[in-house]
Amino acid sequence: MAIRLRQDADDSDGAIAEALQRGDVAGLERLYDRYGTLAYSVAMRVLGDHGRSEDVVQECFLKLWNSSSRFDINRGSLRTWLITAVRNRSIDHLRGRAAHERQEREIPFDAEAAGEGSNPWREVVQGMERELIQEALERLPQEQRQAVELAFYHGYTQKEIAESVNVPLSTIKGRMRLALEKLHSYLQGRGLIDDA
Amino acid sequence: MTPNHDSLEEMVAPYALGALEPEEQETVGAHIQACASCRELLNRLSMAAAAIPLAVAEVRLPSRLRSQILSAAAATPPGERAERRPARVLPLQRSRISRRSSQPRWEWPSWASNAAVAVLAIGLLGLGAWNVNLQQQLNRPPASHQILGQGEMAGSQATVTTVSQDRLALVSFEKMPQAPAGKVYELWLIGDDGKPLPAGVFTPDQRGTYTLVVNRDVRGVRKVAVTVEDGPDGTSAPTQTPQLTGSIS
Repeated sequence: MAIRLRQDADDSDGAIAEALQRGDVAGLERLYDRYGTLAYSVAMRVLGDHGRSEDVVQECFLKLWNSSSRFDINRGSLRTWLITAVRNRSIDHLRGRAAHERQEREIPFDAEAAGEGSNPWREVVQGMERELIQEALERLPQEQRQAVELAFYHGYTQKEIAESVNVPLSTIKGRMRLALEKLHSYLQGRGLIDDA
Repeated sequence: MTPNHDSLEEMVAPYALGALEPEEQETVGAHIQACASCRELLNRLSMAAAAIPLAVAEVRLPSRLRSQILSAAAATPPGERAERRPARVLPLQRSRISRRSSQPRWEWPSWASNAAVAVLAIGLLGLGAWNVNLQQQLNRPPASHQILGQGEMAGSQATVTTVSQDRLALVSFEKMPQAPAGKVYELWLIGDDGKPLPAGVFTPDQRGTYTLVVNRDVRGVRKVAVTVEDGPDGTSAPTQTPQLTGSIS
């Protein structure tokens, strides 16, 4: 069963990926205009520092640009690749790790765009999407949300989280699993995640 | 002791959140490759994990970041992007920003200094697969020209950076007034024959800035000019006297 996350209100990420593969800077320009704010917001959420967030965002866009000839749009969305890279690199900065110490994991799922539409429509859909995910996170029990956020935005390992909140490691594993299962179920029920 | 299936499955959620130690990540990653049920679980949990950052509160982007990224990318134009070679970074001025005191004011990522060393080595040695023409282009700093607005566009300015003579230029606009409703700004390239060629339309951001990528042959271009034209696509020939114009040769 393939699982797909609805990514955008239009399907032109594919066109951007093709432009990037051709080495067309206009493709990078469109990508930046579309996801630059999200990328910067994620970096700021992790780092809380404008200068370091700028460094991370620039680094990740250029990394994508330099590796775009190898990017396979059928393997994952540009947005997921970019935001995953920004989050990972931000955590590296936060924890003082060099980029080469991280083993980048390939995006383990297929993703595809859903429907077509204009830019204003995409913004509306993205705004609705953000509200839905915020709502899903807020509905999680506090201890589950805490486990997810300490890992995702602070870069703590499961063991560090268990020590910091003083609960058994198995409890943290369970909280993470339950949180992600609930998130998936909630978003799937509202059409944000597709099962195909 | 080799962990059993149940203990590995328990680590799939931390794996999806990047919350494992490197050696644990390697072990779980190898297991997932071989275990269909854990792979399916990871697909499901990763989808949820991928949604988490989409809920982040929006923070306004610094306007300079766009031109920094595009300029750096343009410095490695099409055909010159080799596998694993990072984009060259142009020496753009970075405006003053507040930072935590423990952080350096400006620290290029390590690959940037590697790129600088690589470019320098190419220039010094003059060897390798790069031909002489390409080496000269790589080592030559991009030409930059400032143009200023007049009349209603007094105070506006643009910097034209010619990255590659035969392919690419960047035009960074600053302090541009907002175009009237339904109108856009249109850039024109003017050669020796005096005929203006359309080179792109744009609408500046709220701060009046915009960087336009001119991805075309700019050899023979003597002047650039900007006019206000009907949006969203502009026109094929200017309909007014430009109030932002300047020489780039």
